[in-house]
Amino acid sequence: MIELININKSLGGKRILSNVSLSVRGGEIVGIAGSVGAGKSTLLHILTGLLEPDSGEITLMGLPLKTSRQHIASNINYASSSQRLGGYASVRENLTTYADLYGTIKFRSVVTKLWRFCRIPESLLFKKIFRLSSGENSFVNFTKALLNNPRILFLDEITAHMDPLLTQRVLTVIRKRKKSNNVSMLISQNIDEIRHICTRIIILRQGKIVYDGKPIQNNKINTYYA
Amino acid sequence: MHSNSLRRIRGLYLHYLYSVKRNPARIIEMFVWPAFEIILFGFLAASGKNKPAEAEAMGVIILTGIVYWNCTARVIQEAVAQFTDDFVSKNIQGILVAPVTMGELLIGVTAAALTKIAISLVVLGGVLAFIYPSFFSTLGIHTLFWIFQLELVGVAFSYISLAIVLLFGERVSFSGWIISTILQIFSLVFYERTALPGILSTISYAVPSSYVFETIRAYQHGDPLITTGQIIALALSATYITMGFGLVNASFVFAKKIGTIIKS
Repeated sequence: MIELININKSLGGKRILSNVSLSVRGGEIVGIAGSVGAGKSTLLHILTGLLEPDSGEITLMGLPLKTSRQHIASNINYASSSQRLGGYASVRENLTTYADLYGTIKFRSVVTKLWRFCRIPESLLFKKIFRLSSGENSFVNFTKALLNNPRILFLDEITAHMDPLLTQRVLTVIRKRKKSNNVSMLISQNIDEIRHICTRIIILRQGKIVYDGKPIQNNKINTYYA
Repeated sequence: MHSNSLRRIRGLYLHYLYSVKRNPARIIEMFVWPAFEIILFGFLAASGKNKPAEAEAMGVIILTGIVYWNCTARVIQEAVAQFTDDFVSKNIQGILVAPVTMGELLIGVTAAALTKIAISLVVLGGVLAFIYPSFFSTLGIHTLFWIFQLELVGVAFSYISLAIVLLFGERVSFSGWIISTILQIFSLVFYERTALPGILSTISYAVPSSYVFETIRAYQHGDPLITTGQIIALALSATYITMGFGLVNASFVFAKKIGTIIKS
């Protein structure tokens, strides 16, 4: 589903990613961990096409990202806790906009199903984005990312501001995606979260993959951070 | 055009319209400041009625210039403001991850900006009708064509501003103001081409809006409409729109290399 071969990226004269290669199969939930500045977000930005690597090849769903962006973009989605949708518009207006961008037909049913499961009141739909709490904002971004039922979902610290209960429900939603052979790739600083939900962990240090394998104990993970 | 493409354009169009709906700063920028300008210079033109003919004519020239210049400047400033908002909120990342082409994005931005300008012009027209009603006696079907021409100029130069924002991010949000101000110098909004010294006068020949304002002034003096100038203006605008579109695409490619979009 995802193939990366020898990806290199430098920004502002600083090497961010060095010879990163990885292969992700359908149904995997991949957690990306690493200390601040390890290159986690850069990796996700490259995979979403927001950033172009200096060298290397990227193939998503069997198609090269460079030449098939339009087709790939319909089948992927991305959400980050630091992102805010259109601030003065309501949640509903923003989600309608994104439903149009992704050509989602039954957008209300996607929202209703997800929000019921996560026990989020529908009244949130009418709240303006700038009035949302950080946790609500992250959840709205998460909802946006599921509007097109993406085959590959990229999440950057999406649960960072959510309360523990909502976090659990969101993680359950991500876990359920595995059944449909969809891929989820998430960055989190919460190692427990990654260990419990992910089928595979990738740890980055100074732009290089230092661990790629099954979830391991916290104390072992910490050794890769040093 | 594919129906999915139309839907994406609709989504972007609505997104940029929503961005101003409840935003007091943007509403003031769009309606209140231009209205103040119209009130101020409307009174100036109205007061000229009791003065010598030259003074009255000067007042009318200034008022006409301000009203029509709004059609160009506001399109540029509005398009840049909309786009910059998305950079500040990082919403631009969500939009650019979606299956949106740069063409669809530009059409959405432009259509929303033009809609807001149309609403703004109606409001300004209302203010003008109250302050200086005789302004409307010079209007006709050609007025709509001039507005259309000036908006085209605005669209062309808004693409250049958007390319700059894509390249440098929200820190150059002022580019819309700078470009529209520089453009105003060469657009002959308030003066004849001969008023510009040497090289500046030559440059003005490359600015489509200069031909439109020359035509407007000639018409106000009772001269026949300059059709050649109108055709040159249209051709230049079309050229700049095409170049601007290419520039935005090139900026996007470069922005992905230097990371402007992710740094926003």
